[in-house]
Amino acid sequence: MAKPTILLVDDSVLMRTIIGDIVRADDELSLVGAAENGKVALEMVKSLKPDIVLLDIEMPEMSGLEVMEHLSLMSRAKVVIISSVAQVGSPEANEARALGAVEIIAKPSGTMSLDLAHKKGHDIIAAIRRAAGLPPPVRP
Amino acid sequence: MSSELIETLWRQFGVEAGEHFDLLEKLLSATPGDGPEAERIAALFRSFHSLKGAARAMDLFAMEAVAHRAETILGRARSGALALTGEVAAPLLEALDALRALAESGMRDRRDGQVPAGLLARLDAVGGEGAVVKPASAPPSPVRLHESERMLGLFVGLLHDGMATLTRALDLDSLDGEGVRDVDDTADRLELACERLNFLPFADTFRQFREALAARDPDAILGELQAVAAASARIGRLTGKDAGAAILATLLADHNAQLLAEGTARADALLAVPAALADPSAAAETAGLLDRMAATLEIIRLPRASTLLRVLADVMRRAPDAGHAGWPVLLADARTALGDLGVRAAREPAEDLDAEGAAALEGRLRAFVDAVSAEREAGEARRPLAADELSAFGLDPGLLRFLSPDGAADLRTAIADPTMRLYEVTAFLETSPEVASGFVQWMGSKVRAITNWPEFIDGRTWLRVLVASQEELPALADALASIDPGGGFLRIRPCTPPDPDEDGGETAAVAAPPLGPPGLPALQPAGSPAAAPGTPPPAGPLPTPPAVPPARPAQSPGGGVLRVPGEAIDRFMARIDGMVLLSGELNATANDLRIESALAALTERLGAGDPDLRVLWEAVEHHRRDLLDLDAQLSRSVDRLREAALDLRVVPIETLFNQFPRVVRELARVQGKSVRFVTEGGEVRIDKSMVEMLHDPLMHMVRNAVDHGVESPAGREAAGKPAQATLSLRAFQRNSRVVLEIVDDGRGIAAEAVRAKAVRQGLVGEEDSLVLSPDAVRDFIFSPGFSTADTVTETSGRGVGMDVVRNAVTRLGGGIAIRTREGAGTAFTIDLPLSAAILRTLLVQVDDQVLAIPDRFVEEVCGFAAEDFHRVSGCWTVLRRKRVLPVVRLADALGFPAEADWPPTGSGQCLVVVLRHGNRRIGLEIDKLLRRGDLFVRESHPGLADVPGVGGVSLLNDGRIVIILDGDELYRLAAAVQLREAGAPA
Repeated sequence: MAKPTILLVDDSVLMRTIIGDIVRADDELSLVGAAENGKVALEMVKSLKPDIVLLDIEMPEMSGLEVMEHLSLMSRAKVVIISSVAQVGSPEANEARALGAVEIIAKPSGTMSLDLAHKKGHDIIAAIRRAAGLPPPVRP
Repeated sequence: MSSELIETLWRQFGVEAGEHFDLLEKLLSATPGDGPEAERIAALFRSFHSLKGAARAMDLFAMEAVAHRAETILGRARSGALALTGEVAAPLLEALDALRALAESGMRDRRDGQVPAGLLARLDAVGGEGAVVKPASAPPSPVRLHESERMLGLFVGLLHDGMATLTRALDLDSLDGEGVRDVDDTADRLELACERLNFLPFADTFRQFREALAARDPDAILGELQAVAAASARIGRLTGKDAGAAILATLLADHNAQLLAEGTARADALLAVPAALADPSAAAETAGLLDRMAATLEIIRLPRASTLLRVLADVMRRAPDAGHAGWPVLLADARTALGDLGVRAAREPAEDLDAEGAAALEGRLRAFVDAVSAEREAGEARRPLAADELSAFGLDPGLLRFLSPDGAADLRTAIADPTMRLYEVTAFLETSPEVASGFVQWMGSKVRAITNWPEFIDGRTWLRVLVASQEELPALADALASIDPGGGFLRIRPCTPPDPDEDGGETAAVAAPPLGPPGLPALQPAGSPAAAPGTPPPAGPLPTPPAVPPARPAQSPGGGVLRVPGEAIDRFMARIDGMVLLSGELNATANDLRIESALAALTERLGAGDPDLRVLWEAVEHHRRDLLDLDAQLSRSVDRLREAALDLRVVPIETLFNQFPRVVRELARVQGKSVRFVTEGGEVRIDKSMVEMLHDPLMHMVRNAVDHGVESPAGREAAGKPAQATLSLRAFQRNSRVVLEIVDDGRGIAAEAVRAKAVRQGLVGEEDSLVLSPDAVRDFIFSPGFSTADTVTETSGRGVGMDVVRNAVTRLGGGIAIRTREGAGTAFTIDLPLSAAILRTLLVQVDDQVLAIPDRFVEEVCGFAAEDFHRVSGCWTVLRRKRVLPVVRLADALGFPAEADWPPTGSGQCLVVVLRHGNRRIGLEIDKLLRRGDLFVRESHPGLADVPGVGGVSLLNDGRIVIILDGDELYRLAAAVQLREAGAPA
């Protein structure tokens, strides 16, 4: 079976680097692209047809929720929201759920301390793998 | 985590944080009135939010804490709980300074710092700690997407944008694997969108479309596209938004037009035999056909026609009583409406049926079903009227002949209705198409026609129509006067016994009715010889117009437009050419000098001899003269026939041009561009077959120009150009070529981009490419599959096109050239040989050679006497409009041997063609002026190709070869002769 393909959408290059690094660390996932805003993301979804879209909510021009509205009509990709805005029960989280987000997780933090990095990375990977229907990652 | 990555992250953090700081600085110091406040707050929120996330990622928790509180404050501002006043902005600016410092120290020391004392508390005081933490609510159930207006809006947008791509499937031949994938992807996405919105049948349509595409089945593809168009039209109606049905309709226009034309013809044939419709299966078939046509009409937005056909289909399904006398009339009117529809729908833009006419017919159809049963009982109304009844109404008893049972019923209804008045309208419709069409429209709208009959007055067949109307005489007369401003063709007279107070009831505006030889203004000479006196009056009522005629196109008051396959006309032309040759042979036989000399010899021999033989001789001579007469008549008639047939083949190029404005408008709109589309030279006439062959190439180029050539309005303004782009399509004739130009003032084509792409696509080696001239490089545009577009748009791209364009042009024997300047625009020039074109020429004769001078080079033809010729600085000239006109012999210019005297002598008139070249004029002396003629120019014979001044050859009606002169070259040659003469000693 082909590895699940992943598109990462975040307006921060820093976040793209960090999350990209986390995703690339999992051999069973394939990161096929990274987009810096919603419009680019929608174009990339059209051409790349990823299985999973990792989506930030707070973005200029087109918010993650707006992107989801478009995605729901044009892509079969599963959406994993990575945002600190979307705490459980927040209006954003509820709307993201309603629009079909399969996972909602917080942004990585504590990247610099190795332990935390592994832990946060682990959360993100675990969420992506659940979305992709893969078994949970082995805890380090 | 590698140290390299960590370094990268710190660098990125520094850059990103710096950007946010600058943005925050700017936004916080902005005066609230500077721009939309909500946007400012949203941007501020996002920036603090991003800083918070970045700080957290880098373990800068002090910074995170500050950013979090600032974000909280802006969250409250965003929700409207807080205004962003100076008191609020001050702590935010303080937070910004702290964030800057913390970010700097963090990057320097790679560790967390300390928040300035009291800052967090001050921020909390404004934001209220915890204010943004919303109570957790239960996870919502998924929304039903199709009930969300926003989602519907998005869906409509997707549909709209996808349409153009979908239609690319119609052109399977030009679609490569990548193109097919594009189309399939688009259909796939739309299918998914339909599923998500629970529009399941629509999703099926897209799935079936994809299956048809995979099978490369053009019929199925078209069928599914039509279904898509119908569904989008419905969705567009439901949402009140443009779901792309219009653009799809535009792009499907050709197919729809064909479908309609076929449907109209088929329906016409089915309706022609009312009795056959009594068979339920035939009626059902007809109804099905009408429904399909109605669907198409809905797509192309002709709602009145669509409704009418649906009503007709409905009536058909109820299998009405075919024996009912009203049925054939209704059917006949329905056929007329269909014919009218065929004409109007084929126009650009397509026109719907006349509102009132369609509504009237629709009403009659609806009423018909109910009326059938009722009328069976009320047969009385249809009883023929008696002559004295008519007289009592102020009508001529002679009318009885023309009153059908329906007419009688109509007449009774009109008489019974106190608001209705009867009028008799007399019309002559054969002279002016405008009057005829206006009249027919008027008939369809303002009045109800009861019956009509021909009236033979003064050698012409007039149409008399008995009409009923609620309007007063002056209003009707005014309406007629506006249709026929010159008067003389339309008059009206009230039939009801005139009120004694009124002045006889004659109309002021439209003159008196013709009683006896009418004192009419002189009629224009009748357009066709067939209208000559002696045409027998029609035996019965005129077949047209029908009782309630819908409006007809202006050009065809009598007939409507027929669609004739091109081959039929070709066969027709071939037969006419055959006739031309036969007529020539007849001419030669009739004029055979041997007969003449034989008869002359006979005369001599006879002398005063045998009177019986003299009688025989006279009979033969008489016969010969008759033969010559007939030959002359036949030759003229064949001549006219050939010209008329030629007219069938050639069309003004505007019939082609007219197909583009809508496409340009739609494309520009879809892409948010502003394009002014201008066409020029629409009157240039070209062969119909060329119109067909040029359609697709031009469509490609026009689309390309809008897609790739024209920049966005913002881009144009940034480049110092007007926001609105100009795209022009121009046709003109140059020498012996027809030239088409497609010019845009867009971004032009970058030679470097083309070169790089050509190298990437392996069309040329990198090194080779560098030595090519820019022109040679641009030629790659015409390579199969080439495209420089960076992004593939929904409407064009992926490079399918220009190679197809070039192939088509080459097939027509033409060439295509490109001129482009980066930033300034692109011009494509297609030039086509005249061989497939029609040229209007003046036919002249020199010695016994017939020559054709292109009409646009001819200013006029004048006659001069020998004494008008004067020598001015060595050249022979005449005075024309008080200006000196140099004159040379056409024979001299062409290097033909000329035997007549030069300058002319004797008392005869000397004919001079004034040749126009720019603002120069030169006279050409000719032997004989023949006529103007439209010539179907053939490529010149190789033997003639080198002869100077010759542009081509054609055949005259008598089979003689005519040499077509090249206007530019002819002027050059004539000017050279003039110079030679000037140089020669006087």
